[in-house]
Amino acid sequence: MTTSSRLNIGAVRCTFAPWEDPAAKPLIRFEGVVKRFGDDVAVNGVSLDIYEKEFFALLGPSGCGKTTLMRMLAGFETPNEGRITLEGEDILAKPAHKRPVNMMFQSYALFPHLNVEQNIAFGLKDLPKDERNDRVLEMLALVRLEGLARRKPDQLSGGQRQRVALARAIAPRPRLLLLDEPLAALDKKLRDETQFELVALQERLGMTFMVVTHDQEEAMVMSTRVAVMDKGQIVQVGRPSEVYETPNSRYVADFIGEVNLFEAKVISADGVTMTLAGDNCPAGYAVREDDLLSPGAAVTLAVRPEKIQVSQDRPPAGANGMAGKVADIGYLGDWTTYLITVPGGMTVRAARANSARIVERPIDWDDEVWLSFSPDAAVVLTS
Amino acid sequence: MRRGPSAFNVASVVLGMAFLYLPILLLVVFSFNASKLVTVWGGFSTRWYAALFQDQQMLDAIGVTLRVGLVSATLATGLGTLAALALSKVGGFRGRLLFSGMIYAPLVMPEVILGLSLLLLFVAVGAPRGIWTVTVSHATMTLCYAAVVIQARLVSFDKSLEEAARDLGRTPVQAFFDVTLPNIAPAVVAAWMLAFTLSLDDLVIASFTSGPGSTTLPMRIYSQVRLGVNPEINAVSTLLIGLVATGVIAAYLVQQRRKVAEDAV
Repeated sequence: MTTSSRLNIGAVRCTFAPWEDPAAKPLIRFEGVVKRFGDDVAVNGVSLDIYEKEFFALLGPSGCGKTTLMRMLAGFETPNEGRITLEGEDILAKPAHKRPVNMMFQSYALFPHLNVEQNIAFGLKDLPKDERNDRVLEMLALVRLEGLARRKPDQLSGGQRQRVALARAIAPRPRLLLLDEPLAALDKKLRDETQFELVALQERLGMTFMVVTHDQEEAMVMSTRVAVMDKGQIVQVGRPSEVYETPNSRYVADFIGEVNLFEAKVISADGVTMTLAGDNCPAGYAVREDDLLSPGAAVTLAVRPEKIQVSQDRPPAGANGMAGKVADIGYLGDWTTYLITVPGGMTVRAARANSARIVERPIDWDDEVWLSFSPDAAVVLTS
Repeated sequence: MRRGPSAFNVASVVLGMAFLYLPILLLVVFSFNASKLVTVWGGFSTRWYAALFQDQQMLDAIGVTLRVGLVSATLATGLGTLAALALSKVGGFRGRLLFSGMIYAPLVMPEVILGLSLLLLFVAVGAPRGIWTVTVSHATMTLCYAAVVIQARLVSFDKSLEEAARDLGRTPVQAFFDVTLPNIAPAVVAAWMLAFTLSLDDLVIASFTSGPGSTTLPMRIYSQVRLGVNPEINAVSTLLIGLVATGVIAAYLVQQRRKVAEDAV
């Protein structure tokens, strides 16, 4: 995260950053964790620190090992190598039922033979009866299910079941709550609402959450930090804005959001701006120089669609102008996406916020247009 | 346009049902026959039921059969549940195929062979034959049926429920009793009833493995019939049919109630 100290990345300012404090002790620490299933390596050497009160997201496509990593924390899988500690204490020696970690299952795994109340009370059997009843009432109020305490799980809607599963997992007050694809079974509108509700709940409880998801929007909206996983390894860890704005590889750039990747070669660098040549931009690229690269190095420029301007007028020199032809237009209401063919045959994706209702010179299919992006919009990827 | 069933269809159903149930119906009807002659109707009477309850040998046989049935069905259901759990374990284990083959083999093994081999075993180990050898033999025979019924239920059982229970502080054994067992209970009950019914009407294995004083009801009926059918046999058979029918209907209702509960959303 060398860049984060020099640049203000993303639109959100956030002061909560225990991972930047060298004195802070992590709540959970993975050290060189490896898990194999037969010949398959599900988790391949993961080292990771998660701090108290974080809302940590493990993001990756299915089969990347994120669920296995979570199941090792819960105690349902045992790593072949490495250590997992909770507050400095090795938790691998403890069986699942003794760990101060609770999990909300993707299928919710509500007990069908018990009603809502009994489901929530299931993890509270060590509490005295009065305290247990109070806790159940508190949880029912927290997830707004007061009227449904006597219902069986099969008499609830999907959203209600999700809240029962959440209440049941929170009730024993675990040190860490694991959420396995918590919103995957909800429809779009409910999912959008629930994302913000989960964050509000996590802040109110002051609990540490770790969520596993394949949905990048979910991870971006909810988490304090995101770890992007690929093939059993963590590729990048950072704030959602860092991962989005300064991806460290083509994989991350491509996995999180839309991205245009331009192949280019370094021509010269003066310490502030780097000049590059590439097939798609005959005039040459000019981008902000973050890392020292020697001339001749082959790099990839990653530029997000919303950072590319589309215009009928020729942009000034040094603004990475490219002439192109509109191949397709997608009108989304709040945004319009343009697919534009540029020299070299590449199709560039550019997005424009529809901030004005009336546009004087609308862009049409097959129009000749100019694309441009500012020097600091591009991320230089060497891998 | 809706067409009713053809005459052929009606006739085949009637004939088929008659073939299946007419003998049983006749048996029930003639158990209420006043006449001592089995084939001649002499008016309605319950005298054979009265005679049955005077017949100490017959009552002893009923007692033996019920005791053998209760104990062997319970034994078979317990072991069958464990076998089914092992077979449906996620990921499997070394020798799983062999194990499942060996569990299910008695399903297709001729009863005579099973009875004979059990007899040889009891003789070899010097076990005195009696009610316990019959009980153990019946448990052996019905275990595979119980395992099949319970495994069928476990296939549709969400394994994450058990993990959730462990996650919420239950040991694996507690998780089984608190979560898995209540959810597979209908299958366990059905398996028990099936095992009980199979034990109730077994003649072959009981003949091989019983000893003096442990004559089961089917054995008693069989030996009496060889001396000539008497209406008392009809009476005891009617009671047996009633018991089995009650068991089957009860098992059906247990399953049905569960279905209704599942469908009520």
